[in-house]
Amino acid sequence: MDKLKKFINWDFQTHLRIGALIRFLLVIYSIYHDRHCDVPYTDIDYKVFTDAAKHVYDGNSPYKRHTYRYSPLIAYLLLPAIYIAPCAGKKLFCIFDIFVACALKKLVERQLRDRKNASKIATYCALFWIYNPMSIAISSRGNADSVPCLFVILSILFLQTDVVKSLVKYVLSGFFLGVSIHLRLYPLALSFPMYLSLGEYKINRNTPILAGIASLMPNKKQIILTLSCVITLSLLTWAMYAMYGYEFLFETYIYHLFRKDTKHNFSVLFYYSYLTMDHLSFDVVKTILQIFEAIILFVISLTFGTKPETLPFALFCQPVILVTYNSVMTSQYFIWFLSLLPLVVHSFKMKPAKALLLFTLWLSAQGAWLFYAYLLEFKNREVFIFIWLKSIVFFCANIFILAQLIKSYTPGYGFGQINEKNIVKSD
Amino acid sequence: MMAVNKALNVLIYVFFFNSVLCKICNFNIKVEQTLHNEGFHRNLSYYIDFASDDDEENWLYENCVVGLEQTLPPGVFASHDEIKDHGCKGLIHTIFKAPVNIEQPAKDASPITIQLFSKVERSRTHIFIPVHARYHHASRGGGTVRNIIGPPKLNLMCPDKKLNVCDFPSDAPVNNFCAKGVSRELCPWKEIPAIMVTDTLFWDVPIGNTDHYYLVAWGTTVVIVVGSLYLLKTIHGYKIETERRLRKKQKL
Repeated sequence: MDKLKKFINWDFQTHLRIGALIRFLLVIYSIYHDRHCDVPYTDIDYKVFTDAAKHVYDGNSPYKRHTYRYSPLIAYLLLPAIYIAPCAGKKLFCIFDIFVACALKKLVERQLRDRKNASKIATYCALFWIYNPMSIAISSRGNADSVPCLFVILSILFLQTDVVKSLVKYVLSGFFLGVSIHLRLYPLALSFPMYLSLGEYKINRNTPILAGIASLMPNKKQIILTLSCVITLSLLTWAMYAMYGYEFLFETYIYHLFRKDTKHNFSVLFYYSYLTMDHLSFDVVKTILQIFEAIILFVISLTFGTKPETLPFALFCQPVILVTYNSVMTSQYFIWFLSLLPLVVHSFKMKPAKALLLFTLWLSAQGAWLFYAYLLEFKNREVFIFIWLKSIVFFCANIFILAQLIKSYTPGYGFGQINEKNIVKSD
Repeated sequence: MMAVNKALNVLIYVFFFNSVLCKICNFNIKVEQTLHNEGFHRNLSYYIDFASDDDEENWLYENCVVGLEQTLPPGVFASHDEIKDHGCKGLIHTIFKAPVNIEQPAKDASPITIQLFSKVERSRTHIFIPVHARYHHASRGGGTVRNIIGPPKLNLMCPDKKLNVCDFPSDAPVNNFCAKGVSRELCPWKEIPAIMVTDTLFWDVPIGNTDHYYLVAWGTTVVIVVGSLYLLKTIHGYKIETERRLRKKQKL
């Protein structure tokens, strides 16, 4: 235990170096593994990215590669994999991963700037990303999801800290948010609480209606953030549309909106979608799911998004809900909220044993699902109903864990290392 | 006199050489077609023996290029990218006769025709490619659905037009390996009658059970509703608790 404590207390730079080393060793190992094993280490998407990059390199559309459903920027980003080395793209994603850790550290440190131990707490938080097996695996296998994660965190960094002073920080925040939405659609759900956090709401029972409405009017900061985000997103989308036409719009955005993947996945809706593969009529179950998803996203935004102190928790909860309620769920989506976990992990007033129990519950619910998925996919066993049951268990586990995190959420708790009263200041 | 000599030569060729060649072209070629592994992702392999135990014939096939044409049923697909990336054993080139959509369910997909090219080495050829099963529609009672993979068509292209001396008993009217407009006589590819030493391949894949529909629809709905209400209640509880603490703090 002492050794572990000693290890955790190493300085941040050392942790970063170790994290980078682990990732680069895995990238090198992946070359060996892919040559000698039947099941490759490299993510199938990495091949899709590099093939798309080859098309871009040859002056063609990246969408010539079947199943390429990302922004062309990812294909451009992967060009080093064509003219330097095949694994250069993975290394690039690992570098993004390291940048994410730096940005997280900076962000938490600035959030807690007045508190004692801020730097130490920020380092602990960053460790949840640096040594997260999922973030390590995802970037070293060549998945691009650490790229939008970095832009999301940069957007929060400029929004919530004074790294850059004056209104320019809202321009930068909106810019990075716009880039992240262009790359992946999920940060769109983060934009609402981010917008709300800039308002000043002084509404109570005694507030006259007109004054109440007036306080809801967007202020200068909100207008700048919104305009910057919308302009960035529009310009990028327009530029890509000009280059690749409707194919870009369809493959990058429209496809994801209407995607109906009937192959087994973690989603609670998987077996239902499979059984109703050809039903074109109004889908009641999916509609119920989407209504509840929208309500919860809205309620979370209003509960945690209206105060800057609790905004990180709103931003963490939004992707958890999006992923949990999505009609398609794969492991790579977990990175959307795992990248935001370090922003709030210090605020959970929870016994380590309980935290470990919740983590075990999350892993075992996934493990149980994976076991039956393995039986179906690799052993030809007819276990669809069991996969459905396990996806129900996983859904319940996600909801239960999120509820426990909400209950234990105490802004300013700082792993119990901050000797201040842990109540959020409110107007 | 010249004309008589020519006629004699032709007669000698027909009676003598033709009888010799017929003896050579026994087409003692054995094809072993196997599906390896289990589940939705498998390897389809071909082991072809070109009369390796017949020294009088096997010289004919040495250094020939093998062209296997395999038609996969709608429930099975192979991916051009995957074959290219894996550097599949024994393959020198692959042609898909039509683009493949790897995401389609079996019902919407069409059969896929692939041409696999390899080389005869020491009277043998060994090819394998990864193949995958598509999802089929669920049916009453569930169970499995069968994909049937038929035998491949074997074609050969040999140096010095060695095969031109053979008589081909089962020449198909159309050879997909020949360019359009090229006559069968001029086409370097020859369809070879091969002996299949393995049975037709059957690949059974599990399918969903439509009898589960009501259970799944109701179960999923109830879980979503209950889970969502529990989460909303927790958020509400958090808000009430925070406000209570704030009031308490303000009073103090």
